[in-house]
Amino acid sequence: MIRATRVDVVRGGRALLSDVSVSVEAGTLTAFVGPNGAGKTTLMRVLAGELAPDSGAVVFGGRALASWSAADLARRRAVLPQRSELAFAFRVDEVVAMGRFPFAESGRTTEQHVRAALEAVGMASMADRSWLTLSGGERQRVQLARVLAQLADTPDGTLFLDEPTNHLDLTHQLGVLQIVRARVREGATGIAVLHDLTAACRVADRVVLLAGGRVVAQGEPGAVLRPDVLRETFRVDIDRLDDPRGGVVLVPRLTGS
Amino acid sequence: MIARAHPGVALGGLGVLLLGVAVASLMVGALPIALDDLLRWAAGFEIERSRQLVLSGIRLPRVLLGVVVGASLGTSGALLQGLFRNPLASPALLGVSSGASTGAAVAIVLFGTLSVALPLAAFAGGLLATGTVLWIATREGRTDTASLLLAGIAVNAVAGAATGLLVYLSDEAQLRTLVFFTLGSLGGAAWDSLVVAVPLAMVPVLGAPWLARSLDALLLGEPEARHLGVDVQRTKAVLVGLVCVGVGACVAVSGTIGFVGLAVPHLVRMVFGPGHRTLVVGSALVGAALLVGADTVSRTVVAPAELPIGILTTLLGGPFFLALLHRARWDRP
Repeated sequence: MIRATRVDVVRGGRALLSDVSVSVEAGTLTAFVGPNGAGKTTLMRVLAGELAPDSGAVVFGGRALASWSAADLARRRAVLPQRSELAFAFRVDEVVAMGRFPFAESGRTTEQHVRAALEAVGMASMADRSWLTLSGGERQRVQLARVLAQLADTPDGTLFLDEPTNHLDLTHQLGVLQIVRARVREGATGIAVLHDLTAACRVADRVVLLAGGRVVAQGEPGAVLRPDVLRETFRVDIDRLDDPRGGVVLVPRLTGS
Repeated sequence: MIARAHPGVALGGLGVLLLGVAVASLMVGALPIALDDLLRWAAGFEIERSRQLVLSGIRLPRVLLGVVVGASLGTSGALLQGLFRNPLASPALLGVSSGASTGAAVAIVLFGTLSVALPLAAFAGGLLATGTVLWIATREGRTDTASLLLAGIAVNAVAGAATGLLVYLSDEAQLRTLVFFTLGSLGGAAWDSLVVAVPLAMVPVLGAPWLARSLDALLLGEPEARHLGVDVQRTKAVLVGLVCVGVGACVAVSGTIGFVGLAVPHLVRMVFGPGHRTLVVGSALVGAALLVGADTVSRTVVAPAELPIGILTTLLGGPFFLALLHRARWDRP
């Protein structure tokens, strides 16, 4: 369980987050949605313990987030960044093995976790390729494998995913969301920044809609992602269609059509 | 597809290489010494007195100094390139070397050539210069590479001008010592200076393996390393401290020797991959072998005179580095 209460983050005189209170139940998947600059990534960085808020409180796993040591936190939660700045010719399996950094374990154990994580993201056949020769989508999947490896024997850990479907084609977007969904079903807690509102509706248990550094609405996807609220937030007309297989499809309307 | 040599085998191979270069360096010079003489001397048997004196008084301390300085510069380069996630970082670029030589110059001109003050002043100068560069380039715990390089250039220029000023103010004896510093040489090797310099210069070499795993994680980016449980601020502070002590000691005994810290980690990375556990140890071994080899050339190529080794390493290292840049431009996908 993660709870942020009345969090403010100010950088360079600009309020990135103002009076934000959110709570994430253990064992659920929460999606952060909202326009660019809404504060989604900033909120995620605050909850992941990367950024200390200027005011307000964050509680992680029953105690103040700030009281966790970096090493203890690393054994409880993993963070997938939007993009990686890795610029050295590591092998794919070496990159994934970095996920096991917080754990003192034998090389054999690390190897097993690395192989399982690479198989989960469908990159097992590329284990000995150079990171530098990978495409953007392949890199994103390798980073996901690294994050999965980090929580391999922490089934109730927390996964932070900043735009996990970035750079991915349709197949792999679905694949990633399914992997995350499966982990949550097995007991993990997931927090993902998503741009695709339909995907958020489909995979998330709860949605937090942010705009201008404030929470506009939070709750069940169906209750939050209403056309009137979305029109207000994104300044775009959005049609909400019922998906015959359950759930809804949110389609932005092109102006003039 | 990348295949990696087993780290033990790889490092063992480099160890043998270093041993070979060191033995060759002991044998070569104005007074050639045959291998069997060398082996008998090493085993503690009597050999001809002049050869014995040359070995124990001149060549052995010089080879040892080359090993230690080369290892220290190679490791320091690998550590800094890891810290900045930038293969272009080196002790020279970040002001450690120029700051240390300015510190040494201050000690020479203001306090004479006191052997105790010199390494301390070199260390303080290196720390001050690198500290300034880091301070300018770091915002909210993130080090910006572009401002880092610019700050490095500016600090190098200021340190160079300060050294120039001290050269201008120095008398003839001081001037000769200063020139020795700016060109770099292992010619000052003697047992009494080795006793002070070796433990200090070995600090980064001995400390680096403990930082290797954290440095691997740091290559992912500072926030990512923090998410993996690395204490990034502490790692940075320890690393900069190790490099300043090591490079400060190197500059104090051998002056500024360019391009070893930049080129050696590149070479090692090309062959053994970027993982720091092999990189830092490999860079120490290759740096040592390279410097002992270069020193052997520098003291024989224009014999009986001696070419300052800093000139040699830079003459060879500069073009090598340009070739590397050219290759990197075409290899990038």
